[in-house]
Amino acid sequence: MPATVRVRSTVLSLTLLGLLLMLWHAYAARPAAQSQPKSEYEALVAGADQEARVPPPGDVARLAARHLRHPFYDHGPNDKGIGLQLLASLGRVLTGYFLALLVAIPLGFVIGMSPVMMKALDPFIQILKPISPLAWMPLALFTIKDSARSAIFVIFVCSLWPVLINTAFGVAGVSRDYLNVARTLELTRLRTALTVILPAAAPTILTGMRISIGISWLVIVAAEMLVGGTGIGYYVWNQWNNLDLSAVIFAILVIGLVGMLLDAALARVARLVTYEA
Amino acid sequence: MSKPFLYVEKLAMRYPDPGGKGELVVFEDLTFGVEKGELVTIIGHSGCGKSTILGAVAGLTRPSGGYVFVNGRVVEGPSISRGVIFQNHSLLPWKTALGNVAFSVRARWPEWSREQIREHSLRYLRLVGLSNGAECRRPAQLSGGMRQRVGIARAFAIQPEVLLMDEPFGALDALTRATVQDQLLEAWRDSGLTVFMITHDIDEAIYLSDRVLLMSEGPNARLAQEVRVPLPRPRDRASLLKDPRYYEVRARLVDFLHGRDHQPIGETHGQEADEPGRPRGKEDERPELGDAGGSGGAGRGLVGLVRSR
Repeated sequence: MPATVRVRSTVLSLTLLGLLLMLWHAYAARPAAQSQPKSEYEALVAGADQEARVPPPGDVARLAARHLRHPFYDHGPNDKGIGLQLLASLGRVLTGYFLALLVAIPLGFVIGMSPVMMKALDPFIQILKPISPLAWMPLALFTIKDSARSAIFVIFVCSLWPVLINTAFGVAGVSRDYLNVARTLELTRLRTALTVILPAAAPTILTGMRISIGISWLVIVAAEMLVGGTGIGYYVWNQWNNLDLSAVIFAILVIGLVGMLLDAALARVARLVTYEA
Repeated sequence: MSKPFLYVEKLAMRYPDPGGKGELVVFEDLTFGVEKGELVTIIGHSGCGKSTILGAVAGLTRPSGGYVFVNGRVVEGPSISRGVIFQNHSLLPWKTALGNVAFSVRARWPEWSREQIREHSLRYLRLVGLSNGAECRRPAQLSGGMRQRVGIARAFAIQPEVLLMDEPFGALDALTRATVQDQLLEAWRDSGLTVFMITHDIDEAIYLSDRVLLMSEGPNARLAQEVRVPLPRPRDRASLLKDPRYYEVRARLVDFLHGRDHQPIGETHGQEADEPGRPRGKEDERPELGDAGGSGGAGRGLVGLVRSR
């Protein structure tokens, strides 16, 4: 039964993909070639369409193939391979993300273990959490005075909350039974935190980490459009300025693919720490 | 005479009354002892605070009044010298059976090598019949009976002074329960461990215990009676059922618990002690408790204490 489900779902997925590509292709198709000879002007502008159109899937595929053959070329600040751009973005995301983990997990532990801290810090979290991370950008640029670091700071801010909140909830929700086991074994507070509370709360913490990496990847594109220089977000904006929509669509697909891989990686880590209660 | 190995003195648990004035007394003036190597069960209806008593002895719950002494020292908090088997096994679900036992063993003897810990843990798992791969499974992959056996192995492995059990077999079906009880007795027999256990199962109490303490119904619960189980060890179920003494003890316990069932709950706690037909109050009984924990019992009849009305 599961096998047939898999076969049927795969067939359906492929059908949908084909359908979407066909629709795209139909929508993007150029109007029928003009039959009358080109005027001098038309010849000069290389027969440009009067109406701009989204490039068809074939164009995007050709561009993708070209880019993927040489992902790491570097022809100056405005012409770098997609691989280099991705590495720049991933570097920022991972730096900001791990800095956020470094702060959020210990702080989440403190909040989760102490009802006083939970209550005291709650108003701050509630107010800071809904702020779009990009709103921090001007302040970051002003204080940090470095656009790349400001982008990292923005990632740091947006990764912080989900991990912080999930860690606090995970830690606060650890079963009293497990804590009693630790108490009867006379474990120190640190040992209890590391050997009982951490593994018990790990699945919840990982959920927060998974949300955070997703948000970071969303935010980095916008952040790089603002700060410029390198990165996949900058690439998208730069290609828009070049009016190369094939490259924009290619970049969009790549962003989606990398986001999926990041999520899958975190899901794999989550599976390692998940347990059946 | 010296106090029993485990001695509970005037233990009380009170909460502020939800109504605002006064306080709700779960139990109070609880005094009893458990001698070294003895297996004593406390039995009573739910709501009489049995688990709280165990929590207080374990040091996990702070009582409102009274003291618990183990080996002459007053209990002020949890200690690794008091093993606890919890009602709901409380195994760490992310560790294997072996991992759970080893976790406790490492806490008990931090200086031991990894191999030493493993050997020791496996020995205790084998003691309760867990081997051949079962030790490598996580709690979720074990049956209820196996989980509780891991709990027993974990408690015995740290070689505590006292073993405390809170309805350890409550969640098990009857057949599994019998097997695990036997495994507990076998593990206990050679250990010389002092065991204090809570249950609501009369047959379990008789089968396992040297003495059974009976709690009156809560709130305002008291230690109402104490019944010595005169059956020789090792006991086996089949021959136990042919022993008239078994039925005598059983009748006494059923009588007590059942008699209480017909009492309206929550009525006239204040006059409990004076009501006729009730098990006698704590006050009459206490003088005997001191030596009841000892080897006493001679001349008390088959069932130990005779209930006076």
